[in-house]
This record gives sequence, C-alpha cells and structure tokens, in this order.
Amino acid sequence: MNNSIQVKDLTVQFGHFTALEKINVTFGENRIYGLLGRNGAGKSTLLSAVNNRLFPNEGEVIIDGERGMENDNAQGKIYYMGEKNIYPDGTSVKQLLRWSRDFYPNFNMEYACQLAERFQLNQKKKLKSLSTGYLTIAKLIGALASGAPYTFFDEPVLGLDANHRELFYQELIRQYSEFPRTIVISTHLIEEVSDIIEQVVIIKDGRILLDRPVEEVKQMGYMVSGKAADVDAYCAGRQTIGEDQLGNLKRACLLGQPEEVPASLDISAMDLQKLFVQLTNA
Amino acid sequence: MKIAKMFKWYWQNAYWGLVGFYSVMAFLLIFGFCVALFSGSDEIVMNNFSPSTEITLFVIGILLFPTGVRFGLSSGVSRKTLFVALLLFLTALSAGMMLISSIGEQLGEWMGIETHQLQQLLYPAVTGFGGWLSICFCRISLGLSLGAMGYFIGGAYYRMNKVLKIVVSITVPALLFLGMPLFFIAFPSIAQGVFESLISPLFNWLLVSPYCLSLLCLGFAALFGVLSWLFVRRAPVKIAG
Repeated sequence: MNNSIQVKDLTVQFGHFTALEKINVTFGENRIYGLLGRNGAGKSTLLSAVNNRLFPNEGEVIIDGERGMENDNAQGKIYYMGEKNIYPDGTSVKQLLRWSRDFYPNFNMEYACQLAERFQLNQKKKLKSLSTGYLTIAKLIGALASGAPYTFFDEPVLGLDANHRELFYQELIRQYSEFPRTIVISTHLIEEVSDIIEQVVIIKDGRILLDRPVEEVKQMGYMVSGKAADVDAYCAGRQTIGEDQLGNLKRACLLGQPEEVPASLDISAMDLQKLFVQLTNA
Repeated sequence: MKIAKMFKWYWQNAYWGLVGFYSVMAFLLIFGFCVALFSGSDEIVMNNFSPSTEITLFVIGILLFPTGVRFGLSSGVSRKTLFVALLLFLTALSAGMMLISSIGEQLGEWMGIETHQLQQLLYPAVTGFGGWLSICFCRISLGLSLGAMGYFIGGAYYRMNKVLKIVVSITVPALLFLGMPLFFIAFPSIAQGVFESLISPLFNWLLVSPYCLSLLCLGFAALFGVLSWLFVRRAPVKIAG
C-alpha cells in the first residue's frame, strides 16, 4: 500500500506511563479520518509520533512506502496543525505563512491570503497578540493552504465561534473536493465532524478501539424515539447504549438491527457521539 | 534542500538580535568618537568588540536550540538536517561576525579609539597578512566553540525536567563560584599542583601561536557539538521550557 501512512506496532512511553501500546493503523489515500478519543487517550501522541515530533519506543511509521522517522522527504508530505503554538512569540501571521510556503512546496500563498481575508485575520499581527480563536485560524489557514498530501488537524476549531467553525468546515470540504488528500481530524466535537469524516478511528487508553468507515459504524446500531412508555417497552431485552428524555418523549440508541419496531416509534440512524460515549465508557 | 531552508530560518531568527547588537556597538563607537573629539583625549579605549561578539554567539546558541527543534520538527525537518544546518549557520555566523567586528575595530582605530583585540594582546609578535589570517581563524574558532557551548546548554535545559533544571541552575554556579575557590583554599598544595602541571603548561602552549588557541577552541566546538547531538537526536517537540 504505497500511497498511505502505515503505523506499525507503535509504542510510546513517557517514563512508566504507556501513552500508545502497539498501535496499528493505516491512513489511506484521499480519505477524511476522524481520530476520536477521550482526553489523554493518545490522539495527539499518535499524530506527533507519525509527524516525527517525538520518538516512539517501538514500532515504525511508513509514509508512501518510505520509513517516516527522520526522513525529510517523507515528513515533507505531512502538515500537522497542532493544538499548541510552535513558532517563536515574535512571529507574525505573514511570517508563519511564508515559512509554511518555504517548507511545503505546494503551499498556495494566494489562497492563504484569501482565507485570511475571509476569516478577517490581520496578517501583520504577531501570534502572541492573537486570541485563542485567531491563533487557531492562523494555523488552520497554514494547514488548508499547505497542499500537503497528508494534513493533520489536532483540535482544529479550538476557540472558534460558530461562524468561523462553519467557514472552516466549508473550506475543508471545498479543498478536499478540488484537491483530494488524506485528512485526519482529531477532535472532541464529534457531532460537528460526523457528516464530514469517512472513516472513524477511536483510540482508548493508547490502543485502537475501532477503525471502520463511518457508514459501517452508523449501521452498528439505530435510534428509536417516541412516547417514553413505548420506547421503554421496545428497549426491554435489547442492548441500549444511551437514552434522552424530554417530558414524555424519549429517544434511545440501540446496538444491532431494528426488529419488529412498533408503528408508534420512529427509527433513525445511529448517533456517532452516542456510540463513542458508550464505547469509551465501557 | 531543507538544510538551506533551516539555515535561512536560523538566520532570520538571529537577524534582529544581531541588528540590536551592532546598533549598540555602532552607538558606542560614535559615542567614543564624540568624546575623543570634544575632550581632545587620545586615551579612549574600546576593547569590548571581540568579547561581546563571542558572548552574542553564545546567547544565540542557547536560543536556537529550543526554537530550532520546535520549528524544524514541526515543519517536516529531521533532527539530523536541523543539526547540520545549525552547525553550518554557527560557522558562517562566527565568520561573518568576526569580519564585521574587525571592520568595526578598524573604524574605531581610524576614529581615534583604541580597539585592541584580545588575540592581538595575547600574540603581539604576530604581524603581517599571515598573522591577521591566524587571528581571524582564531576568532572564528572561538566564536564557534562558544556558539556550540551555548547550543549545548540550550539543549540541556530543553531536555531536562523542571526539578533537574532547578538542581542544575543552583548546583553548577555554586560549584564554580563557591566550591572551587573553597577547594583551592582548603587544599592549596593540590591547587598549586594543578596550576603547575596542567594550567600553566596549557597556557604556555596556547601562547605559542594563535593556531594553538584555534585548535583548542575547535576541540571544544567538536566536544560541545557531539554532546549537543546527543540532546538533538531524540529531542521531542516541547512547548513549555
């Protein structure tokens, strides 16, 4: 599998704490991945190890058939928009974009400037003077315009208001449809990305818990809603993974396929967030 | 190719620091010239070009480790590449700063300010073009060794945890400024033995030629380079500290 990132038996330890344990996962060509996990599950550690930002204790990362660790050529194919700022405090937005252009040959400066205008980001401002939201926007612009075949977003909407989040998702989809590439989004806002991602990778306690296409995951279960008494009656004896109730109305998420559903209940597709909560709580 | 890009990045990071440094030096030269002009004194001395250039290189070395590692690794540059670029940059910077400092010192002489270089004071017998060349080589080596030492210290602090940082920050100066003098006071015969058998012959050898000092400096540069590589080769991207 040449055009992909293959993570093989990756183990990362910090002292006695094992952050990742024998992780095996593949990020295939031109797909959008959602990397999900609770706080401290190992999402950022996995992305950092793939991006050569830290050294794994064991295992390897193969990027397009080449060894990924300490490989300028292979690492040049990945743009990692991290949660934290790695640039010196005095760096301005313009400098950030220029450096991105210098290190990523397919970087589109014109597009980056257009995005800065649309997000109303002043390019002359220093990164240290930006609010959390605008710092995120500055890094997002770098990632969106990078043109890198593999783009990683770690908490891409941190501090962004609803309008900017909407704009980001629109641009991400537009970019992806015009210039397909592999995108990995690590986030806690599962509902927001559930319609964008094609494959979901759930990580728990440093291990891969689930790695499947979203459609398949959604077919793992279903939701029923209706009067509370009817829902309760239907759920009895079935594997329920979550419930919401408002007054006399109730909604329940169940694993498996719908069977003999009474006409008084409505059926809908599985909620990814509910499934995630259930899987990671267990 | 990424070596050139990292080199450029190091340069841009050091640029404003260098502008600030040479602005101060230029101001001092002009100030000295004005004092010489208006007081009529011919005893204005400004010997700080050489040491301040070397101190600047040392500080740049310290600062470039954390910033370079963070930026380089986050921009798809391997540790090996960013380290090689750093060595090339420090060598070029030492050479460039030596040249600018020499010009500054010459300007000072023309302006009636005494600007003797440390090496000229150490090696008064060295004259002519060959002598100038040997002094230049000596200054570049000295700058490189101090830059490498700064990079090593920057690397050590980058890799250490908070507790170790505090311990080292207290222990090392205490040993150097209190422990060593106390040891020599307590054991004067050992101190004299060390001086007579080690330090004195070393200094005598260093005073033979600027190339001897250069050799020692290059040895230190190599030593700190190797030690720094040990910090770089497995360095992670750390944001704080």
